[in-house]
Amino acid sequence: MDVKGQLPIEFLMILGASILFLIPFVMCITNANELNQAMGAARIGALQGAISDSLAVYPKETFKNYSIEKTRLLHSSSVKITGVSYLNLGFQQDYQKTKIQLRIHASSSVIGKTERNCLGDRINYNVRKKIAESFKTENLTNALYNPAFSNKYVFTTADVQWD
Amino acid sequence: MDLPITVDELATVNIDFVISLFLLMVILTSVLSLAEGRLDAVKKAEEMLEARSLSEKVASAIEETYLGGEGHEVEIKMPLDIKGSYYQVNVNQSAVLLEVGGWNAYSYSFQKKITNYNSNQSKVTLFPNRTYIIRNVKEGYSNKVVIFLIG
Repeated sequence: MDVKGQLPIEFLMILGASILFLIPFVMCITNANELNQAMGAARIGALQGAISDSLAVYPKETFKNYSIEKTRLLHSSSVKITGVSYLNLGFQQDYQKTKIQLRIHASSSVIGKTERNCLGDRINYNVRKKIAESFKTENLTNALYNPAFSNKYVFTTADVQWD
Repeated sequence: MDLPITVDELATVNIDFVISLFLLMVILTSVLSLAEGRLDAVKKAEEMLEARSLSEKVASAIEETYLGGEGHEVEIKMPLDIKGSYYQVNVNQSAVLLEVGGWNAYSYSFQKKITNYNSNQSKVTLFPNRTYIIRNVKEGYSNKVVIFLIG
C-alpha cells in the first residue's frame, strides 16, 4: 500500500483469483458439513432407538399395541447398531433437494421377523426424528418424520439390515 | 518457525493463521453440534435405564417375598423421581408396570395374589419418595403378597 492508500495490482489480482477459488471451496465444505451433521444425527438416533428396543421402554401407545400382539417385545433384549451407511439417490425434482437413503445395520437377540421389523421401525423412526430435530425441520414433515429434511438434502430410511 | 500471529507493528494477522482459524471454526461447529446431540441421547438413555431398573427391582422384590414363604418381607424405598420426571409403579397379579413421562416399562412376574391392607384389590400403586413393605401372608391354603405403605 502506498501513501495514497492504493493497493498494488498484483495483490488485487491474487485477491480476485482467491475469491474465485474460495467460493466453490466454501460451497463444497458447507455441503459436506451438512451431510456430516446429518450422519452424526442419524447415528445418535439409531443408538437411541436401539436403547429403547434393548430396554423395552416404549411410548404408551406402542406399549399398548405390543401388550396385545407382540408380548415378546415387552422383555429386554440385546439390540446393537453395527453400522450406518447412506446411498445418494441424486437430485429430486419434487423436493428440489438431493435424496439420501440411510441404511442402518444392526444385530439382535430377537429372531422373529415381525418382531425385528418392529425393532427396526423404531430405530428408523428415531434416525429420521433426530435428523429433523438437528436441522429444526420438524414442521416440514409428517408425524413419522418421513422424509426428514435438511437445507440441501431429503432423507429416507431403508429397512434395517439385520446381521 | 515460532513466528507470532502478528508480524508487523500494524498488528496484521498472518493469512495462514486466519485460514487455520476458519477451518477450526468449521470443525468446532460440527463437533459441538454432535456433542450436544450425544449428551441429549445419553440423558434419555439414563432415564430409560433407570425406569427399567426400578421396574425390575420392584418385580424382583415381589418374587423374593412370594418365594420366601409366610412372613417373609422386603422393605423397598421408592426414589424421589426418575431423572427429574414424575413416575408411578402399578403392580398387578402378574406384572409390574412403570409409567414415566409418557413411557412405559413392563416386568413380568409369575401369577400370584397381590393386595394391600386397605382393601382386597388386584392392583397396587407405588408412589415416588415413599417406603413400602412387601410381605408374604398366608390366606387359607395359599399365600398372597401384601404391599403397604410405612412412610
